[in-house]
Amino acid sequence: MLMRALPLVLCLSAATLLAQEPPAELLGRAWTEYGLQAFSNADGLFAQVAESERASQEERWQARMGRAFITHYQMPGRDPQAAISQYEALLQEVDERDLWRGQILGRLADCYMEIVPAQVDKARSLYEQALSALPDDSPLVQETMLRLLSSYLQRPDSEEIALGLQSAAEMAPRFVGTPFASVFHGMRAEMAFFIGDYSALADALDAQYRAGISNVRVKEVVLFRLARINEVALGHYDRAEAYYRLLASEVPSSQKAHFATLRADELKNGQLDSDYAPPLSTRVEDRMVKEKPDGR
Amino acid sequence: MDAEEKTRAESGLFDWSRLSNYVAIVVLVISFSVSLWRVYRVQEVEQSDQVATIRVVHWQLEAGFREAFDDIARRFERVYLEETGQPVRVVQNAISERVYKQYVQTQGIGRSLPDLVQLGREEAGSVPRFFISNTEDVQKPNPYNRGTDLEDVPWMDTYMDGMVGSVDQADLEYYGAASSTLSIRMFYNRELLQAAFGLDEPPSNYRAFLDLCRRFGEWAQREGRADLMAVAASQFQASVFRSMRAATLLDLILENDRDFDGFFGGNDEVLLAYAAGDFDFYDERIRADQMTVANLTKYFSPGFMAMDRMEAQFRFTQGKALFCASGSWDAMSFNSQVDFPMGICDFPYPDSSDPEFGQYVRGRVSEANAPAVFRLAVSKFSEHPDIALRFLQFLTSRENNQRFNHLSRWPPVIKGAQSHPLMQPFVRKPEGFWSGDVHRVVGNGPATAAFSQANWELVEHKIDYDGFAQMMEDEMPRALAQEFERLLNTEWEERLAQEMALSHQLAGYAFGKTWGTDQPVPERVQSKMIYLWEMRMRRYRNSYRLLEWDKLLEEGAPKAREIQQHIKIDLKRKQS
Repeated sequence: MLMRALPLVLCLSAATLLAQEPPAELLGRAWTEYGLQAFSNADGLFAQVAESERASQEERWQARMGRAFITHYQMPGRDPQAAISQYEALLQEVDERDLWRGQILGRLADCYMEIVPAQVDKARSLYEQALSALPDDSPLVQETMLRLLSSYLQRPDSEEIALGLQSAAEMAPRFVGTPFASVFHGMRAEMAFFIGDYSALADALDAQYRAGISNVRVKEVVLFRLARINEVALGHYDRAEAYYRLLASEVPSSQKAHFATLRADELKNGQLDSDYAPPLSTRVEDRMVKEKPDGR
Repeated sequence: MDAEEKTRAESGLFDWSRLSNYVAIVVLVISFSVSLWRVYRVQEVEQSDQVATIRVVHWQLEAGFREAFDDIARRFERVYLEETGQPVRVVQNAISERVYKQYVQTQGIGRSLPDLVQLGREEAGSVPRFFISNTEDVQKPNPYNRGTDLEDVPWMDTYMDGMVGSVDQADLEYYGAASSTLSIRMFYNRELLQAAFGLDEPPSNYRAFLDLCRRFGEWAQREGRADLMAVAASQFQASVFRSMRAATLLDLILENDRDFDGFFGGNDEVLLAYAAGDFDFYDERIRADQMTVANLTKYFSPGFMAMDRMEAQFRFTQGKALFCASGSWDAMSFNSQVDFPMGICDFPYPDSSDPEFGQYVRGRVSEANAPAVFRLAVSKFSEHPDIALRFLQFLTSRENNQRFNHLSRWPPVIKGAQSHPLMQPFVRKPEGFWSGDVHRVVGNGPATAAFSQANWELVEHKIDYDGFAQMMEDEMPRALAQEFERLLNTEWEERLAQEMALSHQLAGYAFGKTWGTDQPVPERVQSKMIYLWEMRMRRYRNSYRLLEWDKLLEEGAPKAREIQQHIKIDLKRKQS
């Protein structure tokens, strides 16, 4: 009887195994659910892979990483403090120099930035470790550097923000020609604006524009800011005219395109006091008064 | 048998009440059977194996819209048959706007959404769950533009707005395609205008228009027509008439635009400028902005703010009012309901020659950013997603977009598509400037509530402008303090929400290769990460705000100190 039943049991077991979804597919589905913010669905799928005997060690590790992401990022209920221990446990199981190790160190650093009060120095140290771990050719290197830079914007402290600008200057060569170059210069622009350095602000925004901006609304804002800073704060009217014209031609759907064309024409004709904007002559006088004591 | 029935039986009288019951039952049975038969027939047609059926659901119940849609659907059926040899049927179902959101949500959860669904009333974040992205398709030319100058132009670039309205903010992919756009204009009764003033068109000058409204009331009184009014309006129309404001705030905006992005209003700059004493509500430019509409509401019917929108429109279509205002979506309905010659015109904006506001007017407000509307997206539960997409491409080719909007009397959305003559006044006017909500820091906060209250009193002429300004000045310190707190929290939360979206892309980048059939395209993951970072950069401004706030307090700015008294949270503990 037992001998007769055995093949049947084996067949049924094999059929059950075959009917199960491969772990790779389960992981794909789990991350899709995660992206849709269906966290309980995602967690269930990650748990299946984490406990599956058919899954490889790497797949099980990834599933645990997914569960740590859920702890860290799910909304409502995100808990970066609780995610720290999960990430630290995962860190024990990856190689020294690896994309995945860099990924965990980066997320761990994020946790220290997000807990209240933030541990900014600890986070910066972890970002540095992540940068050492990541393969040099990975775009995550630039992404992690952006996170490191953003840590200088965490506190309302002008000196710290100025340090961030210095740090950005050191990082600049590593962004040249990379897809994140535009974002990097945008971050520099924010720092310069926070401490009122309009010259650095114009320089950073120009670099942001030249590096290429994918979002048309961001491009609209960057070109308008460049035109206005050059016109109003720096007195570089020829540059202001050029940026106004770029705005009108590259973002014709902007509500500001008409104004940009009119103002560019006025500046071309040497008309400082616009028919469409507050007069510039008083600002020019103010600037001259401010500049005289320094002898500039 | 009771005594009454026994008596009736003995007397031989017929029981008529019982007969009416039988008749009611028979009518009910017949009606039910006919309904069943019709449902069966519809299902038989829709479920026929021979014909692929594309079901479309939307909420556009305006006159002429469904007929226009049917016309395009029939044309598509013919073209598709010619192209493929396969028959197809497009069936539309218009659902009331009141229940539309619930319908989409429940059908989505039940996995039974129709093939094409109008977007715009769904739950936030539900689009990627229920609909198929067409990001790849919008970057390729629309095949139905073949033979035109748009033949090689990516589908997205054939749109006047570059199709930016089709990008879902949850996952940054394109979903669906819009077919029309909209604008707001004024409708007028040409017959009454002729009778009262011998004019075919109302004056385009703001002051002349106000004077005409005043004189119309006098004329109606002389004629004994107490039922007539100059402007048919409700609270809805009062907000619609705000479109007649000129760009009187532009100087104020540019003066207080600290980050030079051209925006002032609905952001932190309002708080900082107000607290610094750089502007207040006695500012003549705000007065001009507010009084442009308040001057007109004198000619609205008494109690208009409590009136229903439809009631006001009904008064106009019944010939009881000289003017009304609404959007392009109502033009066809108005046109089919009125039995008098109706005109449509742009608002009479104040211009630079205006004796009261002229010195602040920089021009009209631009309509360059008019939104694209009637966006249909392909549902994930569609049995024929390829045909549904093909229908969308057909509907938004230049030729068919023009035809569809010509028939429905809506403004087209594709470059070069011509409007119906009735829609000519609705053609958007990109030339112009911009305005801003200079009374608020965040949306739907206490400052907006204070503004709405003061504005209500102003447009109903219970207070004058100085009264409005005083109400605002009284409320703003408390309201701005609350909005400041909310802004600090919101930025933090919004950045964390973006962090979640970014974390998904980071996972895709690191692990995507192992996801089997769900493997993402690395280039797409990278471009989404960059897009998210571009949006995220300006969400680190809390530290800047707190720095500026400290400066204002140190300088001893009186209004900053007043606002500070209402702040309940510990700002020192706030971080970016």
